[in-house]
Amino acid sequence: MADFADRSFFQGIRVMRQNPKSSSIEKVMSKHEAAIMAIPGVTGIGIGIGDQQSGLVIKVYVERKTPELEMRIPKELEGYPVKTEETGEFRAF
Amino acid sequence: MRLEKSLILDVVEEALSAPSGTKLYGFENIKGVGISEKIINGWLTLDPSVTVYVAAKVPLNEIQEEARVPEKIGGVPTDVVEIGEIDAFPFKGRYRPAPGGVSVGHFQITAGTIGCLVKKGGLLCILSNNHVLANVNRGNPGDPVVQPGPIDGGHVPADSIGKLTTFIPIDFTNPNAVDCAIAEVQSKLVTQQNQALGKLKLPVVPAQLNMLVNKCGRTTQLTRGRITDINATVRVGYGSSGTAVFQRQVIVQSLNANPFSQGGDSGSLIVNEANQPVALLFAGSASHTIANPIQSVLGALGVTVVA
Repeated sequence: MADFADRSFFQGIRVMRQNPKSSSIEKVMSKHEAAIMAIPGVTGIGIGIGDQQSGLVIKVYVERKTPELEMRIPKELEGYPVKTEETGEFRAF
Repeated sequence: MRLEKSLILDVVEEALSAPSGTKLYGFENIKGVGISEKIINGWLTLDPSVTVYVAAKVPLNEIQEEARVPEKIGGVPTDVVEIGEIDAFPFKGRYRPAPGGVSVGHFQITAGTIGCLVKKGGLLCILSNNHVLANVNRGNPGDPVVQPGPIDGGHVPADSIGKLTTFIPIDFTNPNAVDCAIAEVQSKLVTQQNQALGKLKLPVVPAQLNMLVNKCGRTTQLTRGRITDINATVRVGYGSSGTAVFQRQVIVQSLNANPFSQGGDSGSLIVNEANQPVALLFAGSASHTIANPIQSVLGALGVTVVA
């Protein structure tokens, strides 16, 4: 039986309630990687920092930003914001 | 001789910050400015002059109006001296011993960059990409590697610097972790110094978001950037060979308007501000550079960095 006097037990509950993200950003990214990479015009997916340096975001790289791609790419994945970034085509240098 | 320092600094700043890409010769044609004695018909005249060094002396009508050198600057006569491209040679030239950060390549490719020296057991090798030292899986162990790379004038056998030893094959069906290869070299032909970065420091460090980094490469030479993305999965074109997917990559973006890297910079070592290796550059676009985490590279090849 759980010891309710144990502070870490309550802290654990609080963290779960405040934070809707139940998995790490890496796990969420790899879970959705194949589906995102399958969208035509997508050049990659990675982890970066948001515009306001606010925290980690999932970045989706696209050859060129188009209204169609903006529609198809989700705005967030399991609580993590998704930022679309134009990269052009990647090639070996 | 009384000349305002600012006069010269202004010209230099204007010359170095001007955009290029126009058909006319612009400020990019101006390579430097100095003060000398005016020379007329080969004779020193005892008069001071502002000497403007240019890549090419061309007729006035082929030069953008604002990039033309006036006859006098601040009342002092000017001299225009042709010196060619001064910044091209140091990274595309032939070096013995060869440092990191300069041109190299398998004898059948164009050119890439020497990353650094590594040791595999007792063997001393240069580290670069598979597509630089092994011609995208087409090379065979023992194939000659030339410094500079073939497009920079490197020939077999005169410019051979080593032999392809091992490469990690690039898989065009399944995801990859690295684009890397090593070529065995004789110690007297190479130096562990880097052409622009100087001496490397160990241990190697993992890439972190917002880390400031430097690299020295054959094409864009010394550039500064910031790690903007980690754990990236990207699709990379290899010309006629096809397209390959790479996972757990590092993305770097330049700190200024110039790109962090371009074609020919492949194989460059990316280091942090303390000169510790962070990643191996291999691909990119006009705005983004992609690199393998250095630990993945060293692990895949079973090598350690020599510094």
